[in-house]
Amino acid sequence: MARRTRVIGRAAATTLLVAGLGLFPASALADSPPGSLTVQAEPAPASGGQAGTWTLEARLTDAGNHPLNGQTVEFLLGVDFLGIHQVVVASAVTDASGTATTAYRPTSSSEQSLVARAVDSGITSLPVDLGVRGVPTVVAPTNQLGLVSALAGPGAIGLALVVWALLAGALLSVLRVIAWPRRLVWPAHRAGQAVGELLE
Amino acid sequence: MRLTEAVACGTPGWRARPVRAPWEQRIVQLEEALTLDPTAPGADTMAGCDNVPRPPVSRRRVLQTAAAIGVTAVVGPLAERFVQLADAAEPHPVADMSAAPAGPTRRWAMVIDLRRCDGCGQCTDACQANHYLRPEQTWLKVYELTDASGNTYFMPRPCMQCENPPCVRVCPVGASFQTDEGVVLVDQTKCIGCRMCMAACPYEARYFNWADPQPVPRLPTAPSPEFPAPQQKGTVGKCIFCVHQTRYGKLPFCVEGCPMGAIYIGDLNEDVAANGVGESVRLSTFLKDNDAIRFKEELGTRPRVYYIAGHGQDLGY
Amino acid sequence: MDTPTGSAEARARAIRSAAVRPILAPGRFYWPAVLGLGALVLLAVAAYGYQVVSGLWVAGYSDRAFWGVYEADLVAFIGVSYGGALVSAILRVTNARWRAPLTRIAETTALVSLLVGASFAIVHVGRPERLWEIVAFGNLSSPIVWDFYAVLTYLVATVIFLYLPLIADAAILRTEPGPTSSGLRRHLYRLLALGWTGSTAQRRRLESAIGLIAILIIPLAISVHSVLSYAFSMTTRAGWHSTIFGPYFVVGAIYSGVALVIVVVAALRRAYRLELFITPRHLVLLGRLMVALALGYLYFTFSETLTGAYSGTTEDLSIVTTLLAGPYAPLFWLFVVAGVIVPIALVAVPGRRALERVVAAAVLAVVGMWLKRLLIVLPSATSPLVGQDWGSFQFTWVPIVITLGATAAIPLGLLVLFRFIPILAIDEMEHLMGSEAPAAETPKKEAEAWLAEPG
Repeated sequence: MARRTRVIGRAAATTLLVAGLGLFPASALADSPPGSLTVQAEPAPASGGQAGTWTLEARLTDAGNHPLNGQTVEFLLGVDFLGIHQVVVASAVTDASGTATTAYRPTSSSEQSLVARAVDSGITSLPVDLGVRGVPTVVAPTNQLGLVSALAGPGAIGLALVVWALLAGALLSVLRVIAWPRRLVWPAHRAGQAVGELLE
Repeated sequence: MRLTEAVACGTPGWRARPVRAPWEQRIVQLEEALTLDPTAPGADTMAGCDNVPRPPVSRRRVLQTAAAIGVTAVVGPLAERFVQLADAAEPHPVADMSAAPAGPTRRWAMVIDLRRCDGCGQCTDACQANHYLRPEQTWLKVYELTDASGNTYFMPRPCMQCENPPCVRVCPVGASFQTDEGVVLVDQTKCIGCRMCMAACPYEARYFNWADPQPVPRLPTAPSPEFPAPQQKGTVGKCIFCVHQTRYGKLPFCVEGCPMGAIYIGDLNEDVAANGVGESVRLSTFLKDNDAIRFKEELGTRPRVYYIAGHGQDLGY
Repeated sequence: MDTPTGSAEARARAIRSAAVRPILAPGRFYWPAVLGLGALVLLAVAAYGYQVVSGLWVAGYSDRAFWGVYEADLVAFIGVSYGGALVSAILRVTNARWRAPLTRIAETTALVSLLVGASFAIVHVGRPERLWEIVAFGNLSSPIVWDFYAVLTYLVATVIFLYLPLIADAAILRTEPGPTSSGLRRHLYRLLALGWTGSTAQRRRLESAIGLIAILIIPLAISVHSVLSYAFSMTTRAGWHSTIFGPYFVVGAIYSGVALVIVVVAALRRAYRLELFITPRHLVLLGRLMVALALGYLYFTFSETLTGAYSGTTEDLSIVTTLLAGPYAPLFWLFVVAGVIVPIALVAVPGRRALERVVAAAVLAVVGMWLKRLLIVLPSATSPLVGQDWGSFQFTWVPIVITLGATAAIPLGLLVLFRFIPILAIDEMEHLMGSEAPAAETPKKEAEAWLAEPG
């Protein structure tokens, strides 16, 4: 018990030391320059419904509401996977009007909720909810043998039963013709009578 | 720092080595990660059969490495990983899957980036230590192979968790089974030890308990297919994609044990994958952009482990 | 040349005394043989106990050599039980009357070796106490489950096939004046014979039942060794994943089975003085059957090797190479020469001392086929599926002792069983040989002396 406390104490000390150092660069990023980023999503025309391809548009402006050209914008999808809450699903570069456009096909099975993030400045947009779940791209193949594999099991069992029936039939038919010695039959006969009397 | 005392490897019936609890091991891993000189003695943690005894962990060493951190700046992602490791300095939840939080149904997959793997073997070490395996039970095995140009590359081979698993098909008592998330597990209370699954597996990913398993420290729950520790003599074991970890939102041991971030664990449904150095990717585009392939695809096993080759090699020769 | 005696009665008497001699007066070799063989069997059981306590590593296994001697023994010992199927069933179906003195020995050998072979299924698993799960939780897509039911059915059929002709023999023995119809033996034969009276109706029913089982036991035998082969060929391992494995194993089993029957018949003939009834002609005819099967097996082996070598994958080729020119080459060529070609030559080339040559050929065949099963299991089990590192199976004392014990268990089982059941199928012989004279090449002097012996 003391040993465990000692080691956890060590762990805590080390944690505090490195966490303090580690937070420093993260906190430095929190002060982002002013600006705004908005994102909207539209299902692409004739895309096969809402689970098909969408068009994502992110508009990036600076503090003075001037569009920013040539900035890389990443689109992040909200996920829930082993402590990961966001993953980059697309990225695009803003044009002269400050708009970054990309096509996006939902493949994650979670509710599609996207944010845009300007890579350089770090500002993020409000999330846009597509209102659909994605369709995972992997498809399981069908069993091509179908009926054959379905019949194989019962067929084998049936065959085994037929063989057993033949073996039993051969043995029993011999035993039937070769009568049991009366000595063995008689006790069984008596036992049967006794059971009958009991039941009365 | 080595976790174990010297053993004479390969001799049948070797004495069990003393094992440290996983949380102690995390501390040691933490300290190892902080060691900046890769040539310092003890920095190499490759599991091997040398007979050199190592000294135990000392307090002075901890303070020395902490001072080293203070001198050189630590960037954000690495710090975040240290926080993660320290947070995990507790006994890992074992076996009681009913207590695990229910989540979305996953379709587990792994991606192994062969461009990054340098053959250090820390993935194997992490797996073996945390599952209390004997040294020859390399549930995740790193092969050293030669490609067509004669160059060496390394290929970690976990259980492929095939969608069409031959091992499940041939098990006479149904001890090998597939969960609905695609992970193939072994019920060691049912296994009769016929080793038909070992014959059927095309990836030689199964390992048998030919002798008594090594003693394990007292664990909170009984062994189960999700966490078969201690293993049973006379039954088979294999990589289980650390379902006992992922169920609690933690990374598999090999994933978090890989310093190069070469091993990713992913979900084909959620279409996301993550490695042990904090990188996460959209799984389908990651596979597509990097021309990921599967090992022995032609056998029709439909493995769930994808490899990103990078040297023009064929896998596995 | 004169027959030693002209009456069918004398002949019947001779058959009966020969058949019961092992029951009543087995001879001076009997108890030393039983004790010696029994000691070997007990030693094997002790070795198995050691294996259960320590784990399968003591038998030389490792993860890259997960199957080895025991699996080869399983196939080999079940394989040698096929002599019964051939001699009793196939020769009956083809109406070969010369089989008459051999059927009881062949059927009993088949039963004993089948039991010994099936017990290797217990020896080779890591958790023998759980074998009942194959019935309780059986996964019907597993070749092991198919094995279980096939061997079980074949075992039941073999027992019935041994028992049915025994009914008439037991009926003879229970009424025959002498020690067989007194005391405990009388009870045993009365129990076995049930209510047999020898009437036409009973005889007809028995004949048709035996005929049915004989016809049934041939596809059963084929199915058993095919299913045993499927445990190998349903994997994707090079050397095992071959479509020819079913017929390959069956032909190999019948080959080794006939060879074992020759060895056993020759040994028992000498030990129990059955020379009058089991003549060199019988063994030569069996030897010719064996040669036919040897040629068939050679053909299959050649076909496998050629296919692998000509256009096999890298892994196929590595198996073929290791057999033909690699570490297993000495054993492989030893098998081909001493296990197939020499037996064929010994039997096929005409000459003197035909009996001795046939028996020598049969001994070589049995040992050679055991070796061949080892050569089927080991290279593919130890071949690498990833990378280039082959495994290796360590031959420790445990599997050697257990294999020797199993080899001893077969003659032990026969010696014990023939203390209870007659070694010749008395009834069948009387009906098949009927008015036939004893074989012409038995010298008259020997025959007379033999008939004059008491017992």
